[in-house]
Amino acid sequence: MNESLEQELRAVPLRQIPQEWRTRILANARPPLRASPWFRFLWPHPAIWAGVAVIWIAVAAISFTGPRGKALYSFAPPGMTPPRVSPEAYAVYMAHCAAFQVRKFSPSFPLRRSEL
Amino acid sequence: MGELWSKVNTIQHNLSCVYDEHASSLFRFILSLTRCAISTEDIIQELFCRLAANPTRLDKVSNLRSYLFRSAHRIVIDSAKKRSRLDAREAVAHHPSPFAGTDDPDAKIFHRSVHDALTNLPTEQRSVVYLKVWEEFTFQEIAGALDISPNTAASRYRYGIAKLREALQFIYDEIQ
Repeated sequence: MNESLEQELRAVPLRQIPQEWRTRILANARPPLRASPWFRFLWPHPAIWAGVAVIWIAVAAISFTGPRGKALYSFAPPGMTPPRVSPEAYAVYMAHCAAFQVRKFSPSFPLRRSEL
Repeated sequence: MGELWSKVNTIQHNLSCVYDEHASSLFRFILSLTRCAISTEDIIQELFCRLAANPTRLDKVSNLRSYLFRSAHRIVIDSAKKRSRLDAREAVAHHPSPFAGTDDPDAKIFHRSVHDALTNLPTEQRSVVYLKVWEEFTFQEIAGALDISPNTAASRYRYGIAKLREALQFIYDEIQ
């Protein structure tokens, strides 16, 4: 009986999907458009992505291989030595600095005797 | 940009083809599970939105029909989990039929009885019976579509068809 019952069941006509659903469903099921111009520019060019990645890795490598912390201040590039100055020249330099300081910070009004 | 648009148009054309070929079968299958036209439309919409969002997925699919039914079944399960019990009761109260109407009064009674008998089956058996009888799936295909083993599919079909036979015995004898 199973076979004949199945035949009877198969003979029952089936309903079709409502026609008006087609437009609605397909209109809503749109492929996503990548809105960003950068995305549209870069997405089809994987070489550009790879180039940007290489540059980024190079910058990171340079940044992490140099001296860090206090070592950064004691680091002098090769061939660069601190300038040697004679004691006389140094004294002249210091005198200039002192004169500059006095000029810069001398008040324009007369000081009281207690402040001198 | 022109290439992008042509790609979009191709995807939309492919979606239209998939819709024209499979939407009615999916509609009846989902309707037989949800028993609610609104939920059915939502689920078909969700299915096609997912296809549109990731159209390359279809390139790897060997059996498109089985894939569509499996995806639809998963969305039905997900949406059933989200729905409240009140919604479920309302849906059962409407239970639109996946069968077409007819003018013949005898046929109308038979169709109504088939629909009622099918509606009274547990969802697991109903989905298997529907796919086997009306979509003519093999047990292997049913297993793939419903994420169950072929033996489970066969077992559910046996139980389901036995219940249908019992429910339709009276009217079936009259027809014979």
